This record gives sequence, structure tokens and C-alpha cells, in this order.
Amino acid sequence: MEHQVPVTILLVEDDPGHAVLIERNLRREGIANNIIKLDDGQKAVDFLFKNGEYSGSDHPAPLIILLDLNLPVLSGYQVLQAIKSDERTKAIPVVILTTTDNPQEISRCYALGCNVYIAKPVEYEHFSDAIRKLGLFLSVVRVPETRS
Amino acid sequence: MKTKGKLTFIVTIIGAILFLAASFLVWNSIATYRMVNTVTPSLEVLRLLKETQSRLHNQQYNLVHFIVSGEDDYRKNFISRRSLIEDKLMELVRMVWEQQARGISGEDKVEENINIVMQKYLRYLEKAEACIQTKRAGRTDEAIRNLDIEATSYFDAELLPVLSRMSRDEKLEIHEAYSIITRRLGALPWVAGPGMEQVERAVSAVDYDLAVSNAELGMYRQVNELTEFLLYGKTGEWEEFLGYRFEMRRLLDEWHQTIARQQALGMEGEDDDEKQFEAIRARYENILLLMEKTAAIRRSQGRSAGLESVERTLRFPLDNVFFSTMEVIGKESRDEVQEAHGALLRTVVIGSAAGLTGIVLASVLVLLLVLRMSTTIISSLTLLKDGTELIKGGDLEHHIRIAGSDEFSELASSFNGMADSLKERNDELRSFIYSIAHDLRAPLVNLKGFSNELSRDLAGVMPALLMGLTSLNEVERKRVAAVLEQAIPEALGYIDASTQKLEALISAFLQLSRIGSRVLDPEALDTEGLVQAALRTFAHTVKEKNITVTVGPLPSVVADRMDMEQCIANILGNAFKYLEPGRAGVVSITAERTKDEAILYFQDNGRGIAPDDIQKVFELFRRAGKQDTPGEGVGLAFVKALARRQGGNIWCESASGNGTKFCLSIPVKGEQSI
Repeated sequence: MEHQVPVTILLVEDDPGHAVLIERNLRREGIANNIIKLDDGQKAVDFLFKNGEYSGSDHPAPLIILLDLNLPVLSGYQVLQAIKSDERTKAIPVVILTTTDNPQEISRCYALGCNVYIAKPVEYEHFSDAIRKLGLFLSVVRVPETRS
Repeated sequence: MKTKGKLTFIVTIIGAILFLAASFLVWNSIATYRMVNTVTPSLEVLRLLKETQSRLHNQQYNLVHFIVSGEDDYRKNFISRRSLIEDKLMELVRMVWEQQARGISGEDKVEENINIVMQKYLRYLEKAEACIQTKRAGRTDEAIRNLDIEATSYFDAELLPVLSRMSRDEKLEIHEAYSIITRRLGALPWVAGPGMEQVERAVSAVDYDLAVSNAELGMYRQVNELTEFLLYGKTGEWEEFLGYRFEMRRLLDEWHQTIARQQALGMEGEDDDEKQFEAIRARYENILLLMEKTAAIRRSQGRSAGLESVERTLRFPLDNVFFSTMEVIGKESRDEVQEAHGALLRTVVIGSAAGLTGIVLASVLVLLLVLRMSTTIISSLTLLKDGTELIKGGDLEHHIRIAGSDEFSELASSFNGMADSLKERNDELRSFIYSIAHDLRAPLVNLKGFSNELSRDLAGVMPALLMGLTSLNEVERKRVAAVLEQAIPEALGYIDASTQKLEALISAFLQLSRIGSRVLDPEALDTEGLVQAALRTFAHTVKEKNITVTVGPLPSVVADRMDMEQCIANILGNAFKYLEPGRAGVVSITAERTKDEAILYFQDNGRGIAPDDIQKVFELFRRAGKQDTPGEGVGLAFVKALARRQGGNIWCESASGNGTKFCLSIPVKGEQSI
């Protein structure tokens, strides 16, 4: 078996309740990776590009980003756009995890370059199911090394 | 008012003016024509009077000569002249009657005068006859005396004046008629010029004709004056005869003046007329000399001259050439009058016709213009109508294009502005609804999620808790157990159910709001195919519940595919959901086609809907009857909204326990195939 470098999960979600639910379900699925929680878009961008309050900090190991669209300061779209338009970050897999299931929204995100789009269903069974599957996905996905 | 309105207004005004002008001109032309026509008989009357007068003079002449000479030829001539004169008078009467029959006024006076003339003429004939009898009886002197006292004086004093008066009156009438015509012609500009010229010519022709006949009659009178003098030798008569030279010369001058006037008007043949006139004038001077010589001879004889010598003088050579020439000239002048009058009539007719044609053409042009403008207006209106139909159908981005800068293009841009603001409002609303629904969803996730977590956690600690319960007393244990095993799960259950309901409502709410956002895309649909496809999605339910479904022939319709699919699915879903327990479900789908719409009937034998509830089922979030099946109460509200959008409708006929029939109507245009 190949040695895989553990992936750090960046969860950008402004609703604390959702953040807790997502983390709990991931853990329930057996994901033991480090989860970094940020609650607004600007913080996410600063973190990724080592700007603002994160300047000078150590960039973590390979990343996968769980991104909500409804974020304060900078919206999920803007974050997605920033990620996908920068050479340093555009290869990072992005999973859009949001409440809306509008098809137009979905295609818009794919057009921007997201990798996966998951609608947060209110039906809790479905929700936890989806997160578990995501967990499974995360455990098998190979993520490229992020350049420093 | 902008261009189109102003133009239409102007054109309408022009049209109205043209119509008024045309009416006036038509009336005027007809009036003028009729006026010209009434002159014609007056000219005839004048001619008849002239001829009557000359015949009378001739008759009188023959009478005198018979009384004096006793030659029977004169008597025979006298008698023959009578029937001629009576013929003329009858002609006059007939003419007057004709005029009266045509409703021409003023003829009563003429009729009256003719009656007077006839009476007087008969009187004159009586007297003349009496003289003739006296002469034939051999009493010549008595005859001659009676001739003077009775016949001649009656002739001069009673008979002739009536005729002259009639001639004068007739002439005045003719002149008056012509002046009215001249005035009328003034109002017909394009005829006025030539028309008035014709009138002048006609008037001058009439005057000429009259002058000629006056000269002729004057000659007759002068001859009679001379005859009287020769007969009776009275001095008064000699002076009268002499005085009559001036009268004759005056009449000849008048005649000459009419020729001069005609020459001034540039009428043809006046040189010949002049020559004729000069010849007559020369002839008259000769006759005058002769008459003066004869008169002188008689004068020298004195009053005592015997009948023989009187007779001799009476036989002075009367120049028949004079009178025959005058007759010829008279006939020519009469023809000239006819011609001039005819020319006038023609000018009036042609002029009026030309004018009327012009006006008719102008009116036709105006009409065509109005027609063209109407079609332009109609096509603009059609554009507007079509455009608003499209906008109504949901295509708020469609803009009506009408070129130009008139009221219609303004209306079009108003509509477009309206559509734009509608779209804006719509878009605002939609994003508003969207963001609300979106924002509502997020807390819902938490509600659901944590209530679930609660349950889960509770379940996790339950064994440990229950174990811990054993340390409590019986009462306490029961209480805690109740809470743990019933109250808490129950509460969580209700929370869960409510959250679910809330989610369903929001979902439905979002879906309903999205209905207006999609633009209608009507296409020809195979309705039967759609129904079959829908049935396939329900295949599992149908099989499970053992429902019999029949699909009748369904007409194809032109509608939006997605909307139709949704409607059919919702209605069928209801039919399969609300069965009557204990009764095998039977659902039939049929259709009817009328001129304006296609109606689909969905008949089931389920539990039915109470009459009071029929309205309710179409309301949003409302349900009717027993609530033993899941549902949010949105299906039919959807269908109603969708149907309405297509321009159709949905309604239902039902009774509790008796099945339900849903009727979905879709409008159709034109011919559709069944």
C-alpha cells in the first residue's frame, strides 16, 4: 500500500451549527484528518495566500477545501474564483457544500471550476449520508502536493 | 398629438371640406343647368310672340286692302292668316302648360296674358268680320269708317299692346335668368370664365334677335301708319307717320348696336350681319322716300280725295324684298340664339362634369390615403397586440418594434418600458424569494441536524441512564423512565415532523415562485404520449394499488411541454392517491375538442371531494377531506397557476364518495388535428 500523506481539510462555513454537524459526521465516518475551520471568505483567501492575519504562517500539507457559498465578507463564489485563478491554488480540489440546489447555481460553480457540488439536504439522514460519502471520497482521493 | 394623429386629423378635415365643396358644387351646377334650361322655353315664347305679331300685322294689312279695294284675294289672305295665328297661340298655350307641368313658376301670368290675347283677338276678328260683311254688302264708306273706328283702333289700342307687353316681360325674364346664371357661374371657378363669356354671347344674341324683330315690326307699323293716313287723310296721322321715321331710325340704330356688341365679343359672322344690316338700312331709306312721296301726293289730294285715288296711293310699291329679307334675317338671328344658348348649356354641363370629376378623383385620393393610413394603423396595432401577447406569455424581454415617431411608436416604447419594469420587478421578487428561501433553509439544516444528534446522543446514553435508574425508588424510576423513553423522544419527534413540514413548505413555495420565471415555449404536443409517459412514472403505484387506467384518444395541443407534464403528473398523482378505501381504483382520461379549446377529463372513482371543499383544493397549502395520505396541499395550486399561464383553466366536478372529475382546458387556435 502506498504511503499517503494525510490531507488537511479546510472547512469554510459561517454557520457554526453546520460546521459542527459536518465535522461530527466526518468523524463518525472515520475521517481522522485535521480539520481547519474558517467562518468567512476573506479569512479563507488570506489563509490560502498567506495574506493578512495569516502572513508568515506555515502553509499546511495537501489541502482539500469544503466551501460554503453563503459566506460573509467574501462570498463562496469569490473565494472559488480566487482559488481557481491562481497558479498556486488552482489545483486544490474544491467541494461546494451549500444549501441551494438551483441548477443554475450548480452549473455556475462548475463553470468557475469547482470539482464537486453537494447540496446540503435538510433531511438529516440524507445529509449525514452525503457527508459520509464525502468522507469516503476524501479517504480515497489523491490530492496533489500544494506548492509552498 | 403626434404625426400620425395629426395627419389623420388633417386628412379627415380635408375629406370633410372636399365633401362639403362637392355637395355645394353639385347643387350649384344642377341649379345653373336648370336655370339655363328654363331660358329655352322663354326664348321660344319670344319667338312665337314675334311671329304672332307679324302675322297679325299681315292680317290687318290684308283687311285694310280688302276693305278699300274689295279684291277677294285680300279677303282670302285675311282668312288664312287667322288659322296661322290661332295655331301660334295654341302653341304658346301648350308651352305654358308644359312649363307649369314641370313646376316652373311664373307661367300663370303668361297664361293669363295669352287668354287675354285670345279674347281680344276674337273680338278683333268679330269687328273685322263685321267690316268685311259691310263691305261685301256694298256699303264701302261705312266699312271704311268702321274699319277705322272699330277694327283698326281695337287692333292698335287693345290687341297689339298686350303682345308687346308680353314680349317685354319675357325679355326681362330672360335677362334676369342670365344674370342669375352669371352669378351662379361665379361660384364654379373653372367654368366661370368660358361660362360667362357664353352667357354674354347668348344675351347679345337674344338682344340682336329682338332688335331685328323690333325693326321688322316697326316697319309694319310705319306702313300701317301710312295706310291710315292714306285712307283717312287726317293731319294727325300725317304727323304720326312722319314721326315714325325717328322711331324706325332708332330701332335700326339699336339693331346696329347689337351687331357692334357682338363684334366686340368676337362672335363670328358679324361682318355678314353688318352687311345685311347696311343693306336693310339702305332699303329702308328708299322705302321711306317712296312712302314720303306717296304721302305727299295724298296730302295734295286733300281729304276730299275719292276712293279710287286713295286706292291708287295705297298700291304704293311695298317692297316685299324688304320683308322677305327681314324674315330670313329673323330666322338666322333665331338660329344664332339657339346656338348661343346651346353653347352655354354645353359649357355648363361640361364644366360641371369636369369639376365633379375632379372632386370625385380628389375624394378617391383622400379615401385611398385614409385607407393606407388605416392599414398602417392596423398593422401597428397588430404589432402591438402580438407583442403584448408575447409579453403576457412571460417573455418579458420581448420588445415591440414600431418604427417612426408617432403615437404608436410611443405606445410601443411605453409597453416596452412596462415590460422592462415588470421584468425588473419580477427579477427583484424572484431574487428576494430565493434569498428568503435560501436563508430559511440554513437554520432548518441545523434544526434537523441537531434534533437528530440529540436523538442519537440520547440513544447512546440511554443504556447507561437506564442502568442508573435502578438506584432510584419505584416512583422516581417510573418518572424518569417516562421522561427518557416517552416525553423526550415524543418531543424530538414533533420537532422533527415540524421541521420536515417547514422544509416541504419552503420547497413548495420556492417551486411555485419559479413558475413565472421560465419563458413559455409552446410546441405541438402529443398529449396521449405525455399521459402515457406520466403513467409510466406511476407504474409502480398503479400496479401496487391495482388501479385500472384507460386512456381515450386525446387531441394534440400546442402548449409548453414542461408545464403540461407537471399538470398531468399532479392530477394523476392525486387520482392515484385519494382512492376510496375498499374500492378498486378506476381512472379514465378522455378529452373533448371545441372551437376554442381542448379539455382533458381525468375521471376517477376515488373518495371524491365535498362540494364545499372544491374551491379549497385549489388553494395553496390547503387540503380537503381525510388527511391520511402525505401531501403538502400544493399540487392543484400548481396546476391552476400553470394552466392559467397557458391561457387555460382547471376545475373539478365531484361529490363525497362519488369519484372526482378534473377538467383541464387548454386554448387552441385555428385547426388542430385530432
